Parts: sequence; C-alpha cells; structure tokens
Amino acid sequence: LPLLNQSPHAYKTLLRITGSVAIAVTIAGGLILMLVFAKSVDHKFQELRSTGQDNTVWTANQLEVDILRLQSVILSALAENSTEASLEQIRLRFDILYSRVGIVTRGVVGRDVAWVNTQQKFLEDLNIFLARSTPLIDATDPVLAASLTEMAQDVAQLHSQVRSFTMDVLHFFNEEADHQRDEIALVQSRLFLSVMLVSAIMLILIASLIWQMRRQRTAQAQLEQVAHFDDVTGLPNRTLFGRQLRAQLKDLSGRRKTEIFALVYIDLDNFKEVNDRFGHATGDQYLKKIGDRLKALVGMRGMPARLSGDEFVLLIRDITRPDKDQPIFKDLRHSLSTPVTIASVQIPVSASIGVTLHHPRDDIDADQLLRQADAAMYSAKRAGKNCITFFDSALERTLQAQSELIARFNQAIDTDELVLHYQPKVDILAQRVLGVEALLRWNHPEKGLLPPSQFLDIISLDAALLDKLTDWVLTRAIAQTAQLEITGLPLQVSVNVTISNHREAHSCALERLTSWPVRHPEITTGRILLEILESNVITDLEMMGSAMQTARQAGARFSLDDFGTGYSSLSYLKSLPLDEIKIDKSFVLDMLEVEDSRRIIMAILRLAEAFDLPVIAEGVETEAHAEMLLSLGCTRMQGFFVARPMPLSALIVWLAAKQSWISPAESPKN
Amino acid sequence: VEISRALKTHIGSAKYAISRARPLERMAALAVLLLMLVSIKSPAIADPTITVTLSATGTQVHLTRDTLQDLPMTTYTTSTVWTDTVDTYAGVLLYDVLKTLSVDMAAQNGQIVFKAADDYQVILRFVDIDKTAPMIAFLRNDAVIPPRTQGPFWLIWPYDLSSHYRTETIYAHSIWHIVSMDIEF
Repeated sequence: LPLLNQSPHAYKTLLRITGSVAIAVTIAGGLILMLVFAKSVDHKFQELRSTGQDNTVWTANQLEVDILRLQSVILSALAENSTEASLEQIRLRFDILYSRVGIVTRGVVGRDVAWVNTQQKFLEDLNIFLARSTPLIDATDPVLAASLTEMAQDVAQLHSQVRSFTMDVLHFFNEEADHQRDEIALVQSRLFLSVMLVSAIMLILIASLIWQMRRQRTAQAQLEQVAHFDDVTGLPNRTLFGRQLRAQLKDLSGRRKTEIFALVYIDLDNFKEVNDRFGHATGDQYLKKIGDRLKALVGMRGMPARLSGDEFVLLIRDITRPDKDQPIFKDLRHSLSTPVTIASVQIPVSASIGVTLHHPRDDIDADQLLRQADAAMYSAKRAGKNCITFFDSALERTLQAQSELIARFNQAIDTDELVLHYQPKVDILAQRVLGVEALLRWNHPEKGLLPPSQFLDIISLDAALLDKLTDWVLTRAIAQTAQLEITGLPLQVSVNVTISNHREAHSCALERLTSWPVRHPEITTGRILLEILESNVITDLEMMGSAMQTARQAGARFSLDDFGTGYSSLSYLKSLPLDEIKIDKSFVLDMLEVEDSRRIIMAILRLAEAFDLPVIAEGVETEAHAEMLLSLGCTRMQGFFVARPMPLSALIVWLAAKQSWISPAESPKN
Repeated sequence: VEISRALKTHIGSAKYAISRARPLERMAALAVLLLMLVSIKSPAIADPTITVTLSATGTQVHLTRDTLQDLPMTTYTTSTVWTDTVDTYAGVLLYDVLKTLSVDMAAQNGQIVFKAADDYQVILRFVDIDKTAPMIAFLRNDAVIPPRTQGPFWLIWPYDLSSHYRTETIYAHSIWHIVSMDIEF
C-alpha cells in the first residue's frame, strides 16, 4: 500500500519569517519617524524657550533702575557740593547705565527691543545723552561738577521717558508670550495629530499584514484539507493516515517505548449492495455515518481514515493489554454491526474487521503493518464476513505463504509451467460440439498438476499478476485455437477472465475490459468467448454495459458464468450484451435431490428464453443429470458426463471420435 | 603702581617656588602666597578689585587684574547673547582661582555668591564649576574690558562650544561688573 511522502514545511517557515521581518521593519520605521518628529518638535520648543523675553523685560526694568540711581547720585552730589566720593558714585552709576544701554541695544535683548517699534526716539535720546555726557564724566572733577545741573535735567528728561519704554516692552512681550503659547499649542496639536496618523498607519500596516498571513494560512489549510482529507467522510485520507502512522511508529521507537497500539482494517461487506439499492447519494451518506461512528469511537485515542471505496483504517493508541477482549474492540464490533438510518430507512451494516496489534518490540514499518491488518481483514472476510479477526502468527504464515506463492507463480508464467486444458461444451440434442472451455492448470514441478482453486484466489490479490495471467491465457488459447482451425476443427474457445479486482477502481476494470480486443486482435474473429463471473460484475451496470458493447463490437463474445450464485439481477440480462448464460454447477449437482435447485434452473431457462439467450449447464456428471436437464429443456451441457478437461492433444483425439458432431460448415454463433 | 609692581615680584617668586616645590613645601608656599595676598590692603586704589571673602575663615582677598594675570590664563573665542560679535576673551578659570585659594571643591553645598556694581547677584554652586568653565574674563581681544561694556570682571562661559552653555541659567549666572565673591563651604 503506497503511502504518500511528507510535504515540506519550508514554504510555511518562509512565510512566517517574511511576516516577522515585515512587522519589524514597519515598527522600526514608525519609531524612527516618531523620533525624527519628536526631535524636530523638541528643537522648536528649545527655540521658543531660548528667546529671552524675560531677560528683555528684566533688562528694561534694570535700565529704569539705572537711570533712577544715576539721577539719585547726581542729585546727592548737587546737594553735597560735589564731594570727590559723590562724583566717583556718579562715574560708577554712569558706567553701569552705559553698560546697560549696550545690553539694551545689542545682542538678543537688542533684537527684542528693536521689535518694540514705539521707543526708537527714547533710545536715540539715551544714546545722545551718553555721547554728550561721556567727555564730561571722563573729565576732571571740577568740570564734571560744573556740568551736573545740566546733566540732572537730561537724566530727569530720560526718567520721564523710561517708564513708558518699560511698559511698552512689557506689553509687547506679554503679547509675544501669548503668541508663543499659541504657537506651542499649535505645535502640540500638530504633534498629537501626527502621532495619531503614524500610529494609524502602523496599525493598518500591521493589521493588513496579519490579515494577509491569516489568509495565506487559511489557503494553506484548505490545500491541506484537499490533499489530506476525504471529501465524502471528512476523514483523513490514505496520505495523512500514512504520515500519522509513520509518526506513531517513530514516536514508539522514541519516547513511548512501552505503548501498544492497534491498527484496524475495515471493509464494509455490503456497500456495493447499498449503492445498488439506494443510489450513490445514500451510499455517500452511509459512508459518512460509518466514518462518524469511527471518529466517535476512537476520539482522542486514535485516528480513523478512509483508504478507498468501502475501506477504512483505524489507529487506536494506548492498548493496555495485548489481548483481543478489550472493550474498544467490542465497541468497534458493535458500532459496525448496528444499522444506519438514512432518511428514515434502516440500512444494515456489516463489516469485515482485521486487527493487528503493534508491540513496541516489533521492528516493522508502516506498510508491513497495514498489510498485516489487511490480511486479518481478508481472513475475516473469508471466515464469513461481518466479524473481527486478529493478525496472528498463523495469519503471518499465511501472508508469508501468499507472497511466496505470488512470487513463485510469477516465475511459473515465465518458465512455462502453466498449461491449458480444454473441456468440450456440447448440445446433446443437436449432437453438436459447441466449443471448448479453456481451463488453467499449473504443472507444478513438486506438487503436480494444480487446478485454479489452489492458487487463483491468492493470485487475484495481485492485480498486475492477474493481468499478466489473463494475457497469457488469452495468448495461449488464441494460439491453440488457431492450431485447431488448421487441423480442420474450427471451435469457439471460452476463456475465464476476471475483469474486476475488488480493490481497484471501476475505471480499471472497464479499461481492462476494452483492452483485451486491442491487445489480442485475434479475439475479433469471434472465436473467443470471454466468461465473466456473475460476482465480478461491477456496480455501475450502465458503464459496464457500454464497455462490453465496445469490446463486443471489436469481436469479443461474452458469457455470464456461475449464473444464479450472485445477485442475478434481471438488469444484468437487460444491460449487458451477453452471448450465453452459464448455470452454476452447484444447481446441477443437487437438482436431482433438491427441488429448489431444479426450480432455479427452470427459472433461469425461462428467463434466458425471454431474453433469447442460449443457456449452458455446467457440472453435468452423470447420465441422470443429462436426462433431467433435457427434460427441463436445457440441451447445452458441459461436464464429466460429456468429457473431462483434457490437454490439447487429448482434445484433438476426442474431437476426432466426435467428427460427426462437428459441422465445419457451421461457423460459431455470432 | 609701585605697590602693584612689588606684589607682582612677590607673587612671581612665590609661583616659581611653588612650581619647583614638593607637595609639603608647596602647601607652605601656598600659605605664604595667601598671607601675602591677605596682607595687601589697598581699598582706595584705582585698580579694579574683586573682594573675595572665604566665609569659613572670614579672611578676605582682593583680586586685581594684575594678581589674576599671574594665574594661568585661559581664552574663549565666542559670541554672547549680549554682543553682536565673536570676540576673544581672556582671563582665569574660576576653578584655578578656587584651587589657588585652597578651597575644597568637593565640599557639599559649597557655593559662591557673586555681587556686581549694579547690585546684581548670583549664587554659583561648586558643582556647576568644572575645569574648563566658567572664567573670570578681564581682557577682550587683548584689551582690558571697560566698565561701560560689562567690564572690568565678567564671569563667562564658552557659549559657542556647547548647547549646555546656552541655557537661561548659564546666561543668568554670567554676571558682569563683579565686585565681590563670597565663598561659602
């Protein structure tokens, strides 16, 4: 059972890394933007703060003080008759005033004062006073003393002006302060808006990123869903289950060293019937319900999966004891035998269940384990279906024997150990040989001549081998028919073919059906009659019918083998282009004793008559059989009473004895 | 003039002695220098003076341009917010003055109260004084700073050097017309 390889996580990782980087870049970019902005705003604040408006107002006030003090010392000197000390005080106060005027007219304060436009006249007067007084201040004491009266008048004049200067400066800078406060408020509101804007952009970016990542993750999840889950049941498919199983095995070899787990293989026995009776929609619902049951049954303990068609697998962890009486298996049996109700119709459930228990000491891979469970399931199926079988050493031996047989048989085809025996089919009443049925024999070097019953079931497990065998049989039968024709015995040869290996998809069966006439053009002569087992007819009759029609138009002829043993649906006769119906030997063998078998044969005969189909009875072993069949109206027979299966050489001899039964003129029925 | 010249000689020889002396002798030499500084009392002289008072001992020292010029000189070339030009100011670092006066600069709550001729007053804490600023400037472009332009003594910082020196606090501390320093520690 091929299990899909694991898909890499590289893409997911890449996506995650890209996302992280994008978010980091966005945040870093936002922060840098904020920093740059904050820096510029801070700079603006610094600028506003450094304008020394308080300084200017203070300096203006100091100017007023300085003028007042100069005035005061001049008046004192005048009152004290200009003592040396009082003149020295005048010189000091004059220098201080001079210095102050320098401050008021230069530098930052000078620029501020220049804005106060109303006081240019005062500043001019001030400078004129300083210029006129400087020589007097620097002159000798008597000269300075002589000019004091005039200087006092000048200073008084300045004193009368300075108040208004101070007030103007004060008012101007109060207004200026208001203006600056407004500006700061504006900057602050801009800052706030910008922060909001940057934050919003960052938020949008991050949100969109997250959204995109989530969307990608959802897309990823959907892809995963499609790739790993079954549409009908919503259960994991073969791929995901295989991965899980391998993980479980790896886990066991790792940390859960003592845990036993069970692998369960489930095949629904009656799914084909459900589909036939209720249609595909109901069939799907049926599968879904079974899937739900399995899911509910294992819960967190394991994992159910649907492998194909009506096949499920189940992984059950934490099996405490390696025995078969565990409640979980009883529950499993119960849930797979309780009818399902769909649209108020009760549909019975029947399943063949195979279980293999995995012990930690087992050195086994996932595929081997699945094969074991599969073998156990087959064993359950052979044991009569609707039961549970555990894989054990006997089964293991069987499995071993099977794979050895398959390998050996493969070899047998290549080394020509297979032979065809032929059993004549005759019409007793018309005394005619209708043809021969080619029967496979394996001329085993050790075990002698083996009939198909000893190996065909096992060979059928391997579809490729079965195809190879069918091709071999057809090739050989066609070749030997040609040989018969050369010897003047033109006979129709029946070949048993298997069109459907029940594990395959129907499309494979249909493809096989149409492929034979293409691969063996000799079929087109109409001398090859392909015998299909009734149990081999696939569910989709319409598809099968059209495929058979295609093959028939290419010259192939069809016989429905073992009629009466399977579902024997009337629609088979209606839908399939048949050339012959073969009554199963089981009815013939006990029809003398069992009334029902006789009735079935009568029914089949009447049915075939209605469809205008020739009927041949198999297993005619005695004269009594032949007489009974004749009395029922069946003239075509095959069996030991007529002739045993024989090699080609013996057949030629037998045919020679029945020369009159062969009509060379009559070609096989078309 | 004579007194000043004599003082200059004294200080010069003392400085010579200090620079050659070992630590202990250096201390002694400093004491001599201090004594000499203290001993010169000339309140009536025309030379501009800063009266330094060390509050711990009550001693007074008078600093003139001449006495200051004997300490290591420093220059700043900078603009100021009170002038329109970039000028070169020369003077002595306040740090050097305090060191010369053996003031413990690490003293907690140490401070200097500066007073100006126009009664402006600032208090400067020791922690605000470092090895490169401020300085007591008395020369501008190699000429003495006259009283009519912030002279003769002006406490200034190298404003153009760093934005740390362009704060309102520093501007307020930049006292001119200095007449006295009360050193409290």
